[in-house]
Amino acid sequence: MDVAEAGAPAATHAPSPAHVRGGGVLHVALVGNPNTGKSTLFNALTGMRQRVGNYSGVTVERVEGRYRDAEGRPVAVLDLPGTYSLSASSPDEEIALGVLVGRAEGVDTPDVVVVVVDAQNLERNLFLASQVLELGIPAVIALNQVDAALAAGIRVDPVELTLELGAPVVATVATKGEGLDLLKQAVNRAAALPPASRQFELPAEAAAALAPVEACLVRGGFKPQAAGMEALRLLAVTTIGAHLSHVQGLAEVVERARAEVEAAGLTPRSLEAEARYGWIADVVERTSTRTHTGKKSLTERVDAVALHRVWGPLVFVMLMTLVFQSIFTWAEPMIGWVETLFSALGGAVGGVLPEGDLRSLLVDGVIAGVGSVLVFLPQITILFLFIGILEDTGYMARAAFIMDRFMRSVGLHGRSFIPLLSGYACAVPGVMSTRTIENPKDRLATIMVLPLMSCSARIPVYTLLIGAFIPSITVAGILNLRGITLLAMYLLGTLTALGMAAVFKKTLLKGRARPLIMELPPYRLPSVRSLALSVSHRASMFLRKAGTVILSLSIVLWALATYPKTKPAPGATPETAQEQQLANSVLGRMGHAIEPAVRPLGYDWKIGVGIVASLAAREVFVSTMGTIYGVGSADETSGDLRAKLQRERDPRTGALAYTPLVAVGLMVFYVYAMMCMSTVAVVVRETGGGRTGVKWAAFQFAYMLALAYGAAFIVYRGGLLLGFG
Amino acid sequence: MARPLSALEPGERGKVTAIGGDDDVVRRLMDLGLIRGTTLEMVRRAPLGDPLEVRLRGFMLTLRRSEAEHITVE
Amino acid sequence: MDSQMMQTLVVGIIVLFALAYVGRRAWRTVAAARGPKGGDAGGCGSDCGCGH
Repeated sequence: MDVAEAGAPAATHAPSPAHVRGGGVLHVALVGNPNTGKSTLFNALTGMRQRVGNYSGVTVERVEGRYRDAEGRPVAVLDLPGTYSLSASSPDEEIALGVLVGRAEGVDTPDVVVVVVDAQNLERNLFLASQVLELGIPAVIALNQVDAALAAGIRVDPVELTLELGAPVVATVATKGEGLDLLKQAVNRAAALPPASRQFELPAEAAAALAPVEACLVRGGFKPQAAGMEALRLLAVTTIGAHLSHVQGLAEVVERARAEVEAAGLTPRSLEAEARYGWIADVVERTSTRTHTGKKSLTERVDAVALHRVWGPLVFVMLMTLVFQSIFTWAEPMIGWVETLFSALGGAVGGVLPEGDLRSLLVDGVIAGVGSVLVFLPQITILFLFIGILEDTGYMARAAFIMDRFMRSVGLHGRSFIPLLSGYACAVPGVMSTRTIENPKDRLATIMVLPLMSCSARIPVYTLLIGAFIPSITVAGILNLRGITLLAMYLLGTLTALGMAAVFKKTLLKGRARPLIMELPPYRLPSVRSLALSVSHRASMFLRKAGTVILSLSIVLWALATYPKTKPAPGATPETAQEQQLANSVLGRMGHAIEPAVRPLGYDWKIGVGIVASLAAREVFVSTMGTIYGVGSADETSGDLRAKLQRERDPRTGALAYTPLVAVGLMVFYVYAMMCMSTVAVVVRETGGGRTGVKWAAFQFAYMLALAYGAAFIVYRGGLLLGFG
Repeated sequence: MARPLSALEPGERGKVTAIGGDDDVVRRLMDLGLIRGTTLEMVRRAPLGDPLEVRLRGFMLTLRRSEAEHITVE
Repeated sequence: MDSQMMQTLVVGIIVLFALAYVGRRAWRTVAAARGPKGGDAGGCGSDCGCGH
């Protein structure tokens, strides 16, 4: 049934899309409340043909994709950030509004806008929809999640709704891909239909008061309809948005309008909300029916436990434990396979090529280096999978709800919890997700401490050192010393992050606490396809990094360790010959140069080199060690890095170079040090870019390095004093 | 019987008569549908006592005690 | 050219490419840090790798 046509005035003929500009590509913008399944809809429309970027000058994510319509013509879709209204009180909302009125830099004005509306939440969703519809852009309403609505006893009539709103309404179920074709058709035809307009009346005095504001906006280049929407919106806002800065005399006109409205006995700041919601209530009554099913919904029943005073935190802790447990136990067998695979690969290549530099490069440089990092792909994938599930099911909001009080005790926001939690996977998306934190000071504080949350890149370092130096003994019958050490590292990072946040909020970033006004969405089953898409996207990005940056670095490091070549001294054993070779290479010399700086921590020049190299990325420490020991060993086919580390001896004293104490100290160093260029780059951008950004990132790098050095020093020296040496 | 929202017990309902507090907060609340005359139901408090969960217009909203204090219901 | 020389030559070329690649990456990170437009597509267009 073609609902799209039912209520809209008939187009004269032929469903030919109105391709307005830009090489015949139709530009569509997607707006909607958060939690409406907008992203799922976007994914369903565009599939893998997506691109994520940034809007110029702001730290708002720009998500674009493409699809081909029924006639094969290209359609570009811009997924605008989820917003509750166009009030422009946060960067997300400003961008959404800016794009829709055609005043966003570097963004094409959309030809058609699709407003994604959640059928379960019609009233609230229609607020944004009513604002968007007044902008005068051809619009289509995607009434999404109708299946969940029906299950909750809510029936919405798309035809009636179309008549009420003045814009075509298409019912969709994005997770199942239903209604998408109709939606695409409606999008194509929308451009040929007259745009929607305001369907309700303001009180006469208010309309009169707003007329001058609208006139002012029209003079500033706004279309009359969009001017109407803006004028109403401006009554309630406190600051004129960036996209309006070019309109002359706007502030004064708005002030006068406010005064007039007050004089008429109305409240300027609530006028828009009351007018819209008043109308919406009538619309909803006329277009939807709600049958109370009598029994509580699934969401209510689950929340009775998940948000319970006692059970809630328990469930929370259990879930977190499950996530971490799985990372380290479920991944074990997979890690084993990868290791075996790479060893075999090394052996095969070694057997095929003749002796020489190329063979050494491939076996000791490339395969050893890259392999020691790829081994961690299973763990990273599992972690991303869990975080994705928590987000998509809606549990993350509950987590923020539970943790808010606690977060505030360190001066942070409940909303900081999710970015911080993401930091366990990788600081980069974590830092980017701090955009949901409205208060700049809270946001900055969260960004500053986020890298302290032990990210997945540290896992290779922890696992290597724990595996090599911490004995696998059982403690208290059920716990393993290795597991405890790992947990200790995570706890250390987490506690320090919270502590530093408190410190920052009390000193550098003092400020008022910001409100936590957030929706707790109904629980839903995540779309397997969407989840698989995002997890595989992240995994492939990790692989790309391993495949490109780490590969190149492995090659460069190998070269630095192999050249210049030294002739072995007469009568030297193969091991000493390798030692000399390594010591005289470029890498070796660099390592010796910084050795004095790391000696107090118990490290030798080889570890020193590893640390310096890992400035690029933490995993590079492991691959560097892999390369150094691949090169420095007499036996080319040996692939067990752990064994080599254990056997390593100090050339001067002959004693073991690395002890468990050194290993623990080194891990503590990595808990704190910011060894990740990618994070630095993102922090620069997210803290303001340009000079300010560099300033903050540099400060962050410095304080974290100081923490790292200090803590490692205390651990090592303290340990020696206590006799752990 | 006018009371602040924060004084409601789990399960109690109320009709909003006034919304006060910080401008930004008020606007955000109104955008979400919490305006004069809206009926809402206090559902629960978080395990640590704060924030509160409130049901209005068919969805669940969280807000802190400090924000709820400025909303008068009866 | 004997096999050893060949190998060294091939190795030399590979290493040069790798160096160029690393250098270019490093340059782009620094450039991203400077410009307000953030050189690349929002930090995760290509140079990110941890995910997202």
